[in-house]
Amino acid sequence: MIRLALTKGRIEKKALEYLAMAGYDVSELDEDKKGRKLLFKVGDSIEVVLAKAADVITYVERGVCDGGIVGEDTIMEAKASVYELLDLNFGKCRFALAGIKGKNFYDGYGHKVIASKYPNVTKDYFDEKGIDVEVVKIDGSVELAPILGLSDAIVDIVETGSTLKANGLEVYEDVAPISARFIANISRIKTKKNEFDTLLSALSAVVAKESAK
Amino acid sequence: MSGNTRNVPLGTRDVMFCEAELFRALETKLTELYKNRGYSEIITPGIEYYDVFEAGSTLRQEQMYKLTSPDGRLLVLRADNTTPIARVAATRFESGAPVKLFYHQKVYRLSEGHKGRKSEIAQSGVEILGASGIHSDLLCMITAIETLSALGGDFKLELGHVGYYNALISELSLEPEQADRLRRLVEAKDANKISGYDKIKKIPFLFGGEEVFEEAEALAGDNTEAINALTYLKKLYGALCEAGYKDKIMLDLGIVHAFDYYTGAVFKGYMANAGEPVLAGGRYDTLIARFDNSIPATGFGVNISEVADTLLRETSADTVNDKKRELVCFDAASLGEAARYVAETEGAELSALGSKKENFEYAEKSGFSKIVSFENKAKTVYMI
Repeated sequence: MIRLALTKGRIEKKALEYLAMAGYDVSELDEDKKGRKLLFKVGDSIEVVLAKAADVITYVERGVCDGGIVGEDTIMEAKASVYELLDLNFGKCRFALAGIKGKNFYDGYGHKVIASKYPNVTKDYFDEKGIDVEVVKIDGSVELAPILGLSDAIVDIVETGSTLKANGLEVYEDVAPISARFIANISRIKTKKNEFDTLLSALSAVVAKESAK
Repeated sequence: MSGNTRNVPLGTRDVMFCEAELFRALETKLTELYKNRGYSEIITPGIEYYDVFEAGSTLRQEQMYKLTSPDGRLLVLRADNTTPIARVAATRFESGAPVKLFYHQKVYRLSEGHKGRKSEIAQSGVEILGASGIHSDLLCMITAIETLSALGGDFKLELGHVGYYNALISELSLEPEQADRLRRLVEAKDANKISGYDKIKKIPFLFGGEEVFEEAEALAGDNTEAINALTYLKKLYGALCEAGYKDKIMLDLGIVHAFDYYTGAVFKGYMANAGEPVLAGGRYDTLIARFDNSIPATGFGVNISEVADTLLRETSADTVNDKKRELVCFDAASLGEAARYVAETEGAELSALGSKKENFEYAEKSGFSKIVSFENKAKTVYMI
């Protein structure tokens, strides 16, 4: 038995599709049957827990779940010690640096302020570039920060860029690509190797097939 | 009253009752094992100069608890056990006869909050100083296996060799920064983010049973250093299988420890229900040289805090003591009689309460089977 934590919502739906394609019975998680339950059986060999993205990582890191499926954005922000075993290649988007259209972010010697829901991702990105920035954590619509003059730019998840455009912002540069990942607890991958092998090879086959489409 | 008078810092906790008992029992078991095998105990200071850890540990500065000495020098709360022992070895031992040491010491590391991680970790472990070669590696590994088996529960020991990874990475002659990035990705088994480097990309998945050797050899090609590392690892693996531990050992050539002082065979120990490896160790022949005395060494540490947590999760919450306990109460004139009775009787203990009523209530609540009362030197027994 292997216990997986799935990120509620879009990732959960797609992950279940993939598990179904890999031959697992996911009927317990059908929308009409699911109710308010949080723990489900998938086939005979998997138990699934539904959780918020950041909690998926906590559960897997602490070993109360053996593995999980979660977005790379959350993994990067959490800086957790888990194994990232498979890029599932869905839920694709990217982290980008964005700001008021037409401005050159790197102009001038002034101290830069960046607003983001992802302070660790932002800090790491600029640390690697060797640029000192002040990161302001914002919880809601980050786009407001440069518009209101709180920050010079934002680091945020960009899918189509339409929210940016609608607010007179543009992407300055890409920070990192994002997609859903299969993660595993660093101890369980060893103590439950056979279970993981079976699941991972079934999932990789699905990923290969779907990516070829 | 200030805000923090009633709580403990994040990542620390008070340990009591059956948890404390388990904790000490594990240490006692290991002490017995190590003494039996000819190891002697070492106790190093709780604080060290920062320079010691700076020279000998790859823990980052921000992971260490720092304070200053009266003369203004930077001190660190013991952040790992091997580094101080390496300092001792370099300054106090002649290289010559091997020295076998064991320890039970806490380490202190600043950890990010609210993730359930500990800042105070109880570690036990052994270090074998002054011996290189396969015999000392095998001795260390056997001690690791005996340790895991003494701790109880299902376990696995996983072997690797840092020489294999290092040989393949040096083929690429990378800039240090790039090499560091790759190493972190391999450590996280995050092959997705490794682009190019087709060989390195496969290393994270070189783990499992014997079949790993074949794959690893194919990957090594004609890299003699990598092949040498594999040949050595095979010898260790063969010897441990021969010794009867085949079902307990696994391989992982992607072990690239967070501690970069390892130079040869390395290993990790896993317990079935633990969330992280409970034991880690290996050969570190160059560490002691950082303290100006070249002594080869190997050793390992066990995360006793994680082991205790795991064992406590496994045992049911109500581990009621079913020993027969007697509560002994006394008046001032009968202290001698009461104390002598307690000394002679298993399960008897002196009461801290005076009045009969209080004693009866306490005995009932705390599961004593009887009260033995001494009044004016006369003994009366009440069954509960």
